[in-house]
Amino acid sequence: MGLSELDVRAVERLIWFLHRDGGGVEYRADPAEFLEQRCQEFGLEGTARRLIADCDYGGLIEAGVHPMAALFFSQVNGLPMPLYLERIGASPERVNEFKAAFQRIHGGA
Amino acid sequence: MTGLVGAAATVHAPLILGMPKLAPEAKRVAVDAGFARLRSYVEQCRPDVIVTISSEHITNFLADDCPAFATSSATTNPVQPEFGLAEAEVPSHPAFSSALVSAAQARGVPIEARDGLRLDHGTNLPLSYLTPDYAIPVVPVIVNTVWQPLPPMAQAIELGFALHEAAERSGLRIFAIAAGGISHWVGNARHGDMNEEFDVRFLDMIRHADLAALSALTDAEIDVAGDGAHEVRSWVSVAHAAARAGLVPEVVLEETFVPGWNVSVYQVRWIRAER
Repeated sequence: MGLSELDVRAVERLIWFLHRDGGGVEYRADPAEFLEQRCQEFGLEGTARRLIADCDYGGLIEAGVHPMAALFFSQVNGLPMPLYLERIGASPERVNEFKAAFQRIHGGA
Repeated sequence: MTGLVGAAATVHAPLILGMPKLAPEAKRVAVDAGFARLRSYVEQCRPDVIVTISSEHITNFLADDCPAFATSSATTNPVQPEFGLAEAEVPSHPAFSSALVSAAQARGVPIEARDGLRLDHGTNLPLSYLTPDYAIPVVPVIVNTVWQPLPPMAQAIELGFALHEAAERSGLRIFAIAAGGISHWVGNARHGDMNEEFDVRFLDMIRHADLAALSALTDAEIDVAGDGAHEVRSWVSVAHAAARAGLVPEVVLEETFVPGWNVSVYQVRWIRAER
């Protein structure tokens, strides 16, 4: 599932736009439409585009995207931290630890 | 008196501000008290300029454009509204920024002045506690601890010496804040892990102003404390600046593990020896 360095940088640049530059609002309104409009602009295609479209955080990290960028992408998607950790393959103990902490303050993960 | 009049260091774990209630109340109270003590110390030092040294978190720089060290040449820098941080414009001090760049470059530190930096929680979490009204100009220095290759520790040390020199020449009262660390992993499968042994060892180096030990820290030693642990470069810079300025370290807060935030919270201040 490796990506070229060019693809990795393109993914990170897209996430930067989502996290930092206000692209998150446009993305959350209609992720599919956003990707349709923006993937060409950011040079995302093939596997890179699929990993983003699938919100495959573990796959992004495995492909070489910086984990911090993957974490930010999960936040753009509104994914709570415990579920993010679960999706990237953190230990069940760690996931449950965070789930318990989040449930304590939110009543849910 | 002018020059480096005081300094502090603190972790900048975003959940401290973003999700405070994840931590047990007693720990939160202790951390708030630590920040209050540091804030009081900043006020006591009456700085004209605060210099922050911190990592950032893919807020300003991507892999293909990431200086080893960066500061801002702008008159103000915006806060990145994240983790409970409100939007704001933080005044800067371009003249001191320029002086610091010159002093650092003269020492071989590859630092760049950019036309404005967004201050993410790395810089701004401490500021939001220590100078919440942003009444004091802040010169932010960003250390790359995200994208390989990271700057060598020797450059962080030279940055510290340069900070002292620029402060001495400035005719201004300068206060330095180091932010980041200590052990932690960010965004990967070990997120939430810590290395308490490393934390204790590192804090002891700071506590005893053991500059030789700090200088000898290798990236391999830091790696075992997590990718986020490389943020200790900011502490090392400030420890060296403070030593040159005749300031001595005093540990303000030592919470070795805060569950929920899953971090150690350490805070240090450097004070005049005669106090």
